[in-house]
Amino acid sequence: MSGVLGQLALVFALLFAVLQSVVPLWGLRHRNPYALACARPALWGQAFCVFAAYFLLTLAFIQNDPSLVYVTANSHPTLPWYYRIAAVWGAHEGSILLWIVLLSAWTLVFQWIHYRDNNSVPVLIVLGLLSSAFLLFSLLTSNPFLISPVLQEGHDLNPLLQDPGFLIHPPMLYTGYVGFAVGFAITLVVLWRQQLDAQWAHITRYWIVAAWSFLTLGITLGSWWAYRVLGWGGFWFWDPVENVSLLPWLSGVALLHVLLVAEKKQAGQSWAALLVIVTFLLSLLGIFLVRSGVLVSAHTFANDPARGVFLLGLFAIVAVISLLIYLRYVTKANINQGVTYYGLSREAWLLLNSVLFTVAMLTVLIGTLYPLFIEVLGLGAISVGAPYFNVVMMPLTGVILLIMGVAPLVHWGAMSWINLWKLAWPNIVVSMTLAIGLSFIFGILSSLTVLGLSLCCWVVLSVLPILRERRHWSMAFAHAGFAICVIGVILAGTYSQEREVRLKLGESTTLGPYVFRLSATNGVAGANFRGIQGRFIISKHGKIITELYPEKRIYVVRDMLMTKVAIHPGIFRDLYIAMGEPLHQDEWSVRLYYKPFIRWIWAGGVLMLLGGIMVLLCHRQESMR
Amino acid sequence: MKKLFTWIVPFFVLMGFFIMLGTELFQHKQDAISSQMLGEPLPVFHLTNLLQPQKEFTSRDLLGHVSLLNVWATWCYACQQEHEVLLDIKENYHVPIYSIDYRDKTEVARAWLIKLGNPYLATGEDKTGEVAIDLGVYGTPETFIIDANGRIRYRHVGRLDQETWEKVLWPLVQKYNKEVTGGPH
Amino acid sequence: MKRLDCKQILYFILLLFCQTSLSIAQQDLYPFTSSLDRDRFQKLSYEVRCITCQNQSLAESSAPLAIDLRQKIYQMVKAGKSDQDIQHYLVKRYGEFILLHPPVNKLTVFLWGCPLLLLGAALIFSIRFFLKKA
Repeated sequence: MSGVLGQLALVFALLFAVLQSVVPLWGLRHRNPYALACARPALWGQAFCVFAAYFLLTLAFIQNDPSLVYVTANSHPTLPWYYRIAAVWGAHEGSILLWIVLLSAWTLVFQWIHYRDNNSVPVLIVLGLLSSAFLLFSLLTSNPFLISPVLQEGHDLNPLLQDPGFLIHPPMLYTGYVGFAVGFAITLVVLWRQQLDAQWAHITRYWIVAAWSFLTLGITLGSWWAYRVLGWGGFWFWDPVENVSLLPWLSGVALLHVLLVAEKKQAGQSWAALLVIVTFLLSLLGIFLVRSGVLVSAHTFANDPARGVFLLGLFAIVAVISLLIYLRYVTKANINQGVTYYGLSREAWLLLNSVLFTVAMLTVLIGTLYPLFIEVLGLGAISVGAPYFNVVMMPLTGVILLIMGVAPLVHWGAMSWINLWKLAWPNIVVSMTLAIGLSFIFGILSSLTVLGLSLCCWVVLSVLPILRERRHWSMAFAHAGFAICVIGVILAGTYSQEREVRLKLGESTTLGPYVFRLSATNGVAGANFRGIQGRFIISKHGKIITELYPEKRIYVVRDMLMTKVAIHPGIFRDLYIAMGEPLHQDEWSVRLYYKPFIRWIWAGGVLMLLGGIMVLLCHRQESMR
Repeated sequence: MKKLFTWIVPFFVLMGFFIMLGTELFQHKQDAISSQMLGEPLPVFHLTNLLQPQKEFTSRDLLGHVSLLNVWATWCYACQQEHEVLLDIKENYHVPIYSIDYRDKTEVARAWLIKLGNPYLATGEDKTGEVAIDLGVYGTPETFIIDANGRIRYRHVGRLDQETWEKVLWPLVQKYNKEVTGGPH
Repeated sequence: MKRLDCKQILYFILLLFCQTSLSIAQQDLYPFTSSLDRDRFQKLSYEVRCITCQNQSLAESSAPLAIDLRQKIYQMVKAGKSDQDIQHYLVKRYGEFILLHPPVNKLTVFLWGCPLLLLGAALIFSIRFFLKKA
């Protein structure tokens, strides 16, 4: 029943999306106000149908509807209810539906904010076209409401996804991805009208900041989830799918800073417009790469060539059309050429930032696609993994941190080098001393670590004076967040310790100053799994700190073995235990990790998110012209 | 000129990009792992013979004649499907087949061969997977052609079906057999 | 008070016992006598791909082949083989695909060169922001 209704809802949503885009487009061409006016009601209709479809799918999951192929493939009667709600986006078809839902939601929010503004209709047209494309994609190749010929019991949700992190990570990430569509649509329309002015930059900046904040949260949650679930204490693996989410994030950072220049100084508009387009195209590229199965990745969805063809086609069409519009109109657009850059000024540093983040984006892009490139040319198969990216991104991050520590000290317009030096030298001295002191505490004196830490201090120091002015808090938070994240990466990367040991019941082992004792093992059982739980007593210098209960689980339906790690979190260090294989009677292989400052990575992400939210809170309502 | 440049270059870059991704989409996913072991001598190994535990199965056993070396396991579904083809090769083509039982339990493996029939002249037990790694095996089943001098001549990854055997492996076995009898060796 | 002292002394002895390298080496799944070798082994485990997994290094995988390969690498490290020897051994059997850290060669010149070139070009390009006067 819900299968038929759901498909019907999707078909109607497609009809409304076409109504939302094609009819107003005709109206725009023939100056017909009635045709233009139908965009909004059509959007409501579309959103209603899409939400209904999503609701029906969720309901089918909660009831564990045995007639839907998608539900049976990703759910099971024993799956807890909250994971059933999350299982909706647990695989390809449902996550595409989530994508469509979020696109409608963003469009609704856009039209709600710009309700009185008739000039916003063309933006609805562009977003409607995108919605139509994705609805068509869903109906043709990835229908979540496919009715199965036989009733099945269900294959359960992938146990890797049965974690609280999975309940919020994908929706946040997708909200970020999809959100760039709004800025993209606005920019295309403004390019068409040749009005790349300060107001465009202002409005677009808020939409981009909103999307970017969600993306930041999504990526942070993803990192946290991987740390908890994958069982070897890593937080970032440079997996192609992770890279693909990082691409729009990096170009989004570049974009935010250029938009600021475009808004305040009427410079760099064409560069900003290009970055808006590129950022959204990277989101689309991400869907193609992940869904088509061309990348070897931990996250690949089941691949079907038709999906790849459709998504590549969509990506190509959007790319060509948007770049044609860009090239056609950007030179004609009303760019104020009168104001150019000053020698030493905030605008120059902001532009430098955008260039560097673009380089970072291109580096990640090339590294991710390089194995494909080699394979297409028939030159063999190579891997580009984490070691490559760590090496390559290190100097780049260093340069970025270096300029991040200067830029907040510089004000708009010309400034002399001597004034800058007067502001900067205490920071240089303080950050150098602090970092050297820190690395002495840690023992091993590695010059790269010292350099990295001092650069992070340098960044944090540069934003401290800004805290006096509330309107600059967003920047201070975002910059400090970035620096704190890098501190976490450096320290967790350099001073982590790990041991793989065999432990009998009652035996102890050490890791640094910590003593881990395996005191017992018990059987455990959950709704859809059973397993063995180890009881570890952890002490330091004779004092018991905590008890941890890592588990080895078997998820019955999929017959999948899972490691449920146990973590003792702390601001300065995490202790992390993962049970390995049982070796003999009452003997286990156990992995122990000591991860210093790992929480700082995610704390940094949250601070960046707060920075983004503060930008949005300062929003002044303005209409589109 | 400059205008032409700004128009044409991005589109050529984009086209190249699309063509690359499109090709990748349609390209038959080739075996990503390319072994350079072809032409190399078989790595030296000494394994326990599965059916005659008092005897050893070693790489020297494969010298002097062209043979197949099959890597299998009882827990591998494709191996079970492949088994009939191997029996057929033994019955009708009279090619000596040796095998390595990869990461298995002795009892289970013996029962398996009794139940399904034994196409192998000798089977070595590789409980730790060490020999398999030496051979560059990354999944079962895999089948190698070993020539009379004990060199690896061909490697087939995955289930061997009748058609592949007749069209690819059998001609190669014949070729290397000729080298033994008529060649200058 | 006295009991506490006893406990502390006992603990101290226990601590001493635990921290002797011998007992640690016995517990380790991959015991080494040299910490240099241990670091080398750990680094290699993170730089070799588990080829039957989707996108994981050996250290991050519990697939049977990954465990076997780690064992093999462990033996080679213990036998005093250099990193190059071990990588050569692996590449010969599984191709360059197995190295997560691609070596610099004909195929990867562009891969390794690009970030450097891009960064250099970006910095040179950006000089003009700072030179231009109003």
